[in-house]
Amino acid sequence: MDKGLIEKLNTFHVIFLVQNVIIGMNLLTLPHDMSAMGYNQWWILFIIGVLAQLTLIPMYLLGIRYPNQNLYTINEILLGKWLGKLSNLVLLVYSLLTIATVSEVYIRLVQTVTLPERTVRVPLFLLVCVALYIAHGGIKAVARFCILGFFATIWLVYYLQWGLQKGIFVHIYPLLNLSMFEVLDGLREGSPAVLGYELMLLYFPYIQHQKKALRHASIGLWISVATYVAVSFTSVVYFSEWQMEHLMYPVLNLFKAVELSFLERIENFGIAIWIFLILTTISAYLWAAKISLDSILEKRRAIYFVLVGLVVSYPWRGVISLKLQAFLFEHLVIYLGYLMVLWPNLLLVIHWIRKRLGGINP
Amino acid sequence: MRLVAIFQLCLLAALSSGCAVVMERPALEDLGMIGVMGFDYLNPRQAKIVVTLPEPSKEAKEKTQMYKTIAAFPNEALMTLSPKSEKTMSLAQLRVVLFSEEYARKVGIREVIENLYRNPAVGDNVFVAIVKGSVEGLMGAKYENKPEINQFLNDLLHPRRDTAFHSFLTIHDTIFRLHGETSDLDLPYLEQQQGDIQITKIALFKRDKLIGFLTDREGKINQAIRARLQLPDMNFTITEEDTGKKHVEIVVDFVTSDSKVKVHGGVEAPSFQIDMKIYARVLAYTGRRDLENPDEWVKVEKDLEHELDRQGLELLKKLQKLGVEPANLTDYVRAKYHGEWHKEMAEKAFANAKFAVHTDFVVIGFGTLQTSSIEPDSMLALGRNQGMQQALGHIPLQTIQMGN
Repeated sequence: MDKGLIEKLNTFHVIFLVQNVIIGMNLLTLPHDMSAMGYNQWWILFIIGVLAQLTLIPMYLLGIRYPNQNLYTINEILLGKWLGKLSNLVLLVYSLLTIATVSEVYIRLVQTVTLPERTVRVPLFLLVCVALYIAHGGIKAVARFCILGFFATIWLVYYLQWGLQKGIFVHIYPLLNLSMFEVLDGLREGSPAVLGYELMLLYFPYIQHQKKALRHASIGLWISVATYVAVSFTSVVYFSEWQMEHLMYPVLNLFKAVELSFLERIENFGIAIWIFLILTTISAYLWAAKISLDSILEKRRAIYFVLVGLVVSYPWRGVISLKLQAFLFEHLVIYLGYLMVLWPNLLLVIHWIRKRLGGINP
Repeated sequence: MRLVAIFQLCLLAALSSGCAVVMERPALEDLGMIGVMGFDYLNPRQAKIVVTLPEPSKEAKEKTQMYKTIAAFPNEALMTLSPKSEKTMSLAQLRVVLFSEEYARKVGIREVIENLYRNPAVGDNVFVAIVKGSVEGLMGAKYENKPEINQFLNDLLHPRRDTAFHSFLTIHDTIFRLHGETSDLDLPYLEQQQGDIQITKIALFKRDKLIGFLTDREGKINQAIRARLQLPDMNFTITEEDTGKKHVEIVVDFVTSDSKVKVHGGVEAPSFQIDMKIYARVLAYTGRRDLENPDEWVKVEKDLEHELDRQGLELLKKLQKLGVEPANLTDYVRAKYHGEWHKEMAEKAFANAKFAVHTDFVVIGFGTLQTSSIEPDSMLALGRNQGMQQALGHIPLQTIQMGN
């Protein structure tokens, strides 16, 4: 169990933590989310990958300067106690919203496709229970589950070939058929998909080879981007623009194209397996939320897990209005994600200023 | 640790409540898996819907159950059909959707196909076909020498080389083309002929309404232009100018085919250059040429090239006249166009297009019978299943000199 600040994440843990936390629900809907880009969406993902890579560098630089502190404690060191706690509270809200969004979208898919005769409440509760169980084991348990999740799901990429076989490759032309404004719009639509690596600063103190952390995190990031590009490219050749715009879960339909002699309707299988990707994402954010509570309340208690779990699984979503839900789950969570990605830059600047003034000694 | 124990207890309590559910989900044997769904025209709003499902019970007299109802949408049909059946109707194993010609002409197939596409229970690999007369008549008839009809129709419409003159469109493909920016639909047309069900023609669609047909021969050329790798056998009747023999019959077995489309000119008036490369074996030949002579052999190839060029051009002009484009040529125009693209632009481009078809026809063999031992005018009977190693490419002439 996770009891102290010991360095315990090895190379593979870091790679797959980054990789698997990134891939959650977004991959299922990605070609739909980026449908405004039409057939040009697949190469925009490369740009998003490069942008993510660039924002990874300040995280590493900050982490390496505070090798024994996580983001929450760095916040308190650099911003002072109350401002630090306030920013930690924002991060807590972000984690909770992410868990709520990811689990909500997945459970809704399960309800529509696999369990059409049930409501979502019980499956959601069970999902959060399992995620709590994983997160309760600490970040190393989450990392180990990420490795398991990777090998349990990566072979699904093989089934893209049915889509590619049926696809029309002329769709990828004309290349670069977008104006500057449209490219920016595409970046806005596609970027939420790569969020997840920003948690690195939370588990940075646990990493064994901190100096190589940037390289390992980058490998994880680019595995995810490559998966995204593969799925997006297959969608581009397999679907028409109308289909990408109107299908809520294009990846589901990519699975539907698969014909095997011994197995039919593999998409049901795919949705079930997808739970690995959802669980890794949710459990990592649960862990992040829990240590956030730890730092805000200045106590390390396991009961916080239950608290967090209750908040995300309790059907309070029925209470708030749909308009507010849409704002929370579709907009606020993404803006907070961007904030969290850019946050280390701010902290680095403050670190630099305070170092110049001679008031800091990490 | 106590916390974990409490967790597990809660989990157990939650899971055990599953036993208390009163209305159970139907088990597999309680489900009636609809295999074929058909739509006949009744009025502009409603259709006569026919469904068939395989009957697994050994005591049943018939192997297939058939139900009819009147409804606007597939889901509505399920609702009204359920009280008639002892089983819970399910669309999870739907394999084939049929439309009568009248329905496809008057109502159009878009709404039904979209309705099925929206339903997550329905797979994407469901074949779509058009039926001459009524679907009810076709599905209700007895076919003595056929397997169960759900199975039979699925197998009939499944991609096979022998029927590769249509595009084997599934629900996904139909939606793809209906809402695509370029290509139009070409669906197989089923006819009931002397106790058989046969794919006789290809139904052409403008948007979602049937407007015309292609013969299977035209369908084959359409598929060759679409660069389908495997094509069914084809026969040609040509005139050999130099030997003076008219009505020479040649049957060829396409080994591989490929086509490259180049576009010149803008969106307003594009000109298409279609280069087809075909490797084939000659299965039957009634001409006067000596096929062992390489020069003569080349002449046969040239004759076939001219004939395919002519027929390809004829097909494209026919399609242009009908205003439908199942050959997916305008996609190449779209691929060169920067900016927003609409279906109307594809239609306009195709209407103003010019075509040039060029075929490179390579005959890779004539079978294993020495040609000179046969009367020049008689039909060559050649082994169909032989020479597969020749199929791998263009083998130099001397290596397949026959009968020496």
